[in-house]
Amino acid sequence: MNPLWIYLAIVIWFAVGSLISWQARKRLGKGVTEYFLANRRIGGVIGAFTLSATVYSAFMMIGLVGLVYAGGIAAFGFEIVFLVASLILLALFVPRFWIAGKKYGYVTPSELLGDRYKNRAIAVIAAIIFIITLIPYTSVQLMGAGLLAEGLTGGGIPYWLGSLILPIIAFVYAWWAGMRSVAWTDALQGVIMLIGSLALLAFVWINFFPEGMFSTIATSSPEKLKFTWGFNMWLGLCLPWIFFMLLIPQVSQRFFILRDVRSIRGMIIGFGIFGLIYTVLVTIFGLAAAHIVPGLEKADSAMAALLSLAPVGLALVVTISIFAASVSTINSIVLSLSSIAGRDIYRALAPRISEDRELFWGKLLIPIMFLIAWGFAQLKLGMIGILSTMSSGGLMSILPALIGAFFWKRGTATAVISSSIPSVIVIGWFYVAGLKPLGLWPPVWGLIISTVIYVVVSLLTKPPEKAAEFVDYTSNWQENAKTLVD
Amino acid sequence: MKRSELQLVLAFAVLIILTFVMPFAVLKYTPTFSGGFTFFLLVPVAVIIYIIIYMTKSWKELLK
Repeated sequence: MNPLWIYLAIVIWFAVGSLISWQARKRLGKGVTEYFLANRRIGGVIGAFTLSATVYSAFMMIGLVGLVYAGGIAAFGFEIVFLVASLILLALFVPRFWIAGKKYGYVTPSELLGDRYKNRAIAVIAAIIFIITLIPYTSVQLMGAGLLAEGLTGGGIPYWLGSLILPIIAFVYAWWAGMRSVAWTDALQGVIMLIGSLALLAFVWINFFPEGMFSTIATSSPEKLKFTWGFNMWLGLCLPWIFFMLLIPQVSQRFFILRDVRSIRGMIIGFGIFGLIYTVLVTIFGLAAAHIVPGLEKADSAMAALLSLAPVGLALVVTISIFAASVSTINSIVLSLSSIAGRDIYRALAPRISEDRELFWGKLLIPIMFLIAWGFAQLKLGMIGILSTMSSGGLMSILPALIGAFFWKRGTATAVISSSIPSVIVIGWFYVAGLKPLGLWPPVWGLIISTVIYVVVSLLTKPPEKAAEFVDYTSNWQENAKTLVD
Repeated sequence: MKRSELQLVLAFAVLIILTFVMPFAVLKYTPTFSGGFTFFLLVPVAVIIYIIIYMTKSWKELLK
């Protein structure tokens, strides 16, 4: 494909997004809550789109298509387990996060943990874990964009430039007007992701399956329809993803931004519908690719192989939809990490700084985070892949602390510190060394270790006074929400 | 935790057990679209409907 087509498509896409971002900028007020949480005034529809576009990254159209291509419907099941578990956990946890944010003024999930356990070190530890695990994850998004642009143009757009375009666009959206701009432009990205996928589905169906897609695949590739993964692999991959929504800060920070309970309901339903449609479409692409372009050396190149058969216009739309998925994820990650670094780390070092100063540092960190992520992406290290996989697994170390914060008054700060640090070290060590004792994957061991230590140490130490008040207040969120409304 | 929320936790547990048992008990042996694909398609549809009913009923007063 001629690189000029891609440049032109990117310019049009960026112009539309910038227009939306500019509208958001016009409504930008003052303060940290306004910038990082859109003043907690986001409605259900935008909430659903920003949550969906943040969660579903370029991994779907490249990584999951490749997983289905190689492993069949087991990969589909893995993504569905994530979706359904998330929906139930969202219904249980979002109202609690939301009411706690309204009552105590939290801006970041790590701030919530630090305040609930009455220990600032916990907020700092959680913040460091978030930053260490998520910068490599962001780099992988940039690597995907760089490889896709380079591959589609036959090197016409070099890797370094392809991986630089997206952070520049994401930087503009995030830096200019913070969360409101990111949420609004995420809605645009979400629509583009669905349009691109539906257009590709129509093309594939009409051109390659005139006698019906399902019957053709069932005949040509029946092995792809059989569940082929082993139990330990299924457990090791699914376990971190079941709790992914609670653990990833750019997602849980979105629980603070909603206007009211109606918006919470809208966000959860919208996310469920978006997630189901997008996951089914991506799965179909993987199965279709196994029939249309069998025998690829690298399963991850299945989408690129499909696009090479599509007309230029369609390939452009789908490519932009993959870029949209990347941008909507990375701008959310970087905005979230910037607020975390400003609030939970910088404020810990200088507790008396003004809100304006905190906002200044938070905004300053946005381009720095993008530069670090881009720098990582240029290394093209296999290690980045390992770190990326570790990111969801590593966050399992704080799961008991997070669940305990809302549901167990006995949970203590000492327990959180003594459980999360050894657990994250063990998870990282097992991943890097490739260890799977008893066949169990690192996140499983991490969760066992952190849960046992958290429970035992909590029972041996005294919880802070805030614990009972916090658990009671968030458990009675419905009654308390009425007083907020009144 | 309210009773309706306990039901939610129970639904979560059932769902996890189901999605960890079915693949190895049944879906390993069904290389057709009516096997694993349909199962993994119907589960989220059912959960979305359940969640809509749950939120509409349990949060009724707050949605007015």
